[in-house]
Amino acid sequence: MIDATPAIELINLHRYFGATKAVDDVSFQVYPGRVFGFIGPNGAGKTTSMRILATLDMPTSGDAMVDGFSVVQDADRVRRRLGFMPDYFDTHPNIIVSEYLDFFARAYGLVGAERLRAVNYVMSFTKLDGLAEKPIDGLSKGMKQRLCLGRAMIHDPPVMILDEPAAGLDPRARIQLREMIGQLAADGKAILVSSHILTELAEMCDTVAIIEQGRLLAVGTVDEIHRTRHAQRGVHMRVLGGAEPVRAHLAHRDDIHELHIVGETAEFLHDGTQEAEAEMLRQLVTAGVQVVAFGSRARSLEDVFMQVTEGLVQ
Amino acid sequence: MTTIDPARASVEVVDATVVETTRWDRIDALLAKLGDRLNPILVKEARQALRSRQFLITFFLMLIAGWAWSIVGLARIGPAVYYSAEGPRMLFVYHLILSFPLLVVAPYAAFHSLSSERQDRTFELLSITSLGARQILTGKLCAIGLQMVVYLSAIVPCLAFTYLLRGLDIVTIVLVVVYTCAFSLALSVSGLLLGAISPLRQRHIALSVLLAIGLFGAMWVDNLWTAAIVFQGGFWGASEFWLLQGLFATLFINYFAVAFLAARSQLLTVSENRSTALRWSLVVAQLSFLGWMAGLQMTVVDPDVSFALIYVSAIGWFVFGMFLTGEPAALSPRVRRDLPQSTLARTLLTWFTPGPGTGYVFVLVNMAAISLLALLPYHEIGVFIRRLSDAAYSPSPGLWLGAGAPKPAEMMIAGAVATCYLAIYLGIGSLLVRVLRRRANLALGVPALINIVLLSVGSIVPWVIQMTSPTLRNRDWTVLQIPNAVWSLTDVCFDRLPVDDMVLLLMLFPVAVLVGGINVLFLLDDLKQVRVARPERVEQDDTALAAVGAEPPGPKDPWDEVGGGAT
Ligand SMILES: Nc1ncnc2c1ncn2[C@@H]1O[C@H](COP(=O)(O)OP(=O)(O)O)[C@@H](O)[C@H]1O
Ligand SMILES: [Mg+2]
Repeated sequence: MIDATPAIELINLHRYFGATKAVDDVSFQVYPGRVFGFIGPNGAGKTTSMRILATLDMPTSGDAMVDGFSVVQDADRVRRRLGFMPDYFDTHPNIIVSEYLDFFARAYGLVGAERLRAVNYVMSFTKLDGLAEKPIDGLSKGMKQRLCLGRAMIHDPPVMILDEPAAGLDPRARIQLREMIGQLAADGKAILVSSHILTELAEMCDTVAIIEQGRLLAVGTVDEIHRTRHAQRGVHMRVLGGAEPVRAHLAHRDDIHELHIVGETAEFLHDGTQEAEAEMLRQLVTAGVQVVAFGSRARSLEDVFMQVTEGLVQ
Repeated sequence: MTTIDPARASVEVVDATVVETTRWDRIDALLAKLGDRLNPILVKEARQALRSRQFLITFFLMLIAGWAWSIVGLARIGPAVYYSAEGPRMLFVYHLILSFPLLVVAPYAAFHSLSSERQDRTFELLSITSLGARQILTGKLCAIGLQMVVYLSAIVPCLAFTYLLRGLDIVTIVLVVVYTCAFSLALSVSGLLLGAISPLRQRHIALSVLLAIGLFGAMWVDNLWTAAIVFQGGFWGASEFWLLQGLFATLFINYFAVAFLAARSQLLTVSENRSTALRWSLVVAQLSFLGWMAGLQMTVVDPDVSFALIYVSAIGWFVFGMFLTGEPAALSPRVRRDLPQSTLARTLLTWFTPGPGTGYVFVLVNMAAISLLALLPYHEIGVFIRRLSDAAYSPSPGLWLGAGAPKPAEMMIAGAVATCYLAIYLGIGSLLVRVLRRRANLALGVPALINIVLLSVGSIVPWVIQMTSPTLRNRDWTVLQIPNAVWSLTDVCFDRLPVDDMVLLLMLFPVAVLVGGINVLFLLDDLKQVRVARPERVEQDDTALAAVGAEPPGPKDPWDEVGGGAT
């Protein structure tokens, strides 16, 4: 279906600041209706890439397309199709929330009833209704984030770029933000969202890209990255009368790492499937080890992230 | 982008409440429609101004100052008000009160609003909306205009009152107000230009201070000018007076257009065409300047007018040439989409496309055209018409007094000398910039700086040598001053050169040909860049926009039409 043409496409994007390679040959696509997570530690090049996409910076080489238009050659056409939420706030003295949104609605060419509708819709979507008359300089961080999101979506753009939208939000606001982003994607928008905290993105993104020092290290769904990145599971076990006997059974195995035994508990990492774990548990029990608790979980995205970034770039 | 999905529509409450349309509703709707047409920036800044204390304070201070002077002034005059001509003095002080907000506050606000928004990145979020560079600048200017109107309205009752006093007529009052407002607009657009070209990474304390000093200077000049009009009024009976007003109006319009387009160029993205519109506006400015000079020739036959034209044009083309010949040679695919294609179009229009080589030729052709082609016939026609109409035309002691005989040959030589100097200095500057550009991206100011340094070195070094040499110190122009473009051209234009002007020209000409030739070689290389097709997606978009009936992002006003399309 529409998925055939990507809404956002980075093509061998490079951006150097002198000797600093802020973005170093990055390519990926984002399709309509999808949320794409852009993950990397501070200084990885997320903001730089997003600013290029938002036509605020020029690539050193390579290009980026938004809805089929080059951000370098056709910035004006890109701008009409793009909502950008930067990682800072703009300051306008003496202006209230509704006027602020009204201004941007006008600036995006909305007129008459359409503009009123857009402002009202955005205020209710971002739950700013009650604050319509409040000066924007007096808003709290969370309110400002919502206002920023509202500004970015005022012209109903098919592509949205959100730079660290969850930074500094309390857990409740974070959940609200996640719901909003989900709804925007359900409306068919392509959304690129960045964060340096993985757990923030894990639940809301269909696809993630991990970037460090300007280089893309992995792109795919969270599951895919798990799989291709030699995913491990963390196992936690409690053995009556001390877990020491477990060592004899497991220490020599290749698929067991970082075995820690303290008193009755044993913890280790296991490469392999849950079936293999069930078999391992069966063997332990048959061997007379008194296992009273056994838990295993897939490693979190955070763990994968640490693994990916450590493995390739120091 | 413009469609509203059903989820959005359900929130809407406004339309539903409109059940019956009374007259008020219709007026309301009309006003709303009008409001839609207003520039968004004007609407926003007007709203902000209404809430801003500083704005209100300025307004009330003016009101108070106006009233205070009315009372003090009248008290000072006393009963003499009935017979003494005190109007001019009253008007002058009201104008003084008005000139501060109009000539200092408003232009400074224009500069500050653009430069500070660019620095604190508020401008970024504005620039990525659908507003083009032109709309942003127009919005800012309109906001300034609104401020002007408000300030003016505080002082209008006082101005009207001066009309009741003796010694003033309505023309003087209107003239004073119009001059001040026009001057304010010209300064404001300069403020915006400065705000648009100010570097982003530094605080602009030095720039702000310089601008403030400049604005106070402008206020001073404006007050002198007003004093001249107010206290010596009544000279608009002379035909030269209205001629002068026409000349000022032309200067104002051309300056405004060039400064506006220069500021707009700076706000466009780098791949857009930043040069073509500006080049057209320069040609228009040059032509209207020429037209006025020709007009003056017909009323006042004076070769000095022609020499002045050459001199001023040479300065102007050097200044614009610094920027035009410093443009990057590589054209973006965006610009190449609109390159002229047919042989005829290429011959005529290539010089308007961006690039250092085309800029170089553009400047030289303009200078040569002014001095060699246009000037001579105009001057001759002027003499001819003057002879024809000598009987009917009784020469009044105008603002300029003609003296001396026309010297067409000298004028041609002066023009050729000016063109040669431009060819040499801009040519060397342009080559240097080309070399530097291979290594790094140059900011806008770098080519200008290189050209200024070149001209200064070329002019100051020979001057210093002559001044320090005991044998040459007391001499006028010597051959040593050939590289000294400033001294040489001044002496040529004011006919003070101790040698025949032709000697100077013969020495400059080979150098100009050499430097020009090298530049043309580079230009030929630049011209290998030909038109590229518009991407399919862009064509699709234009078709879609045309189908919706929305305005395609093409020319929307005369300034854009000449510009080749970028908003
Ligand atoms: N304007 C700039 N000038 C110089 N270096 C910059 C500039 N912007 C970003 N950088 C550098 O580029 C790298 C990437 O920065 P950024 O994209 O902001 O990272 P992130 O958003 O992932 O934290 C950093 O090393 C940063 O110092
Ligand atoms: Mg960042």
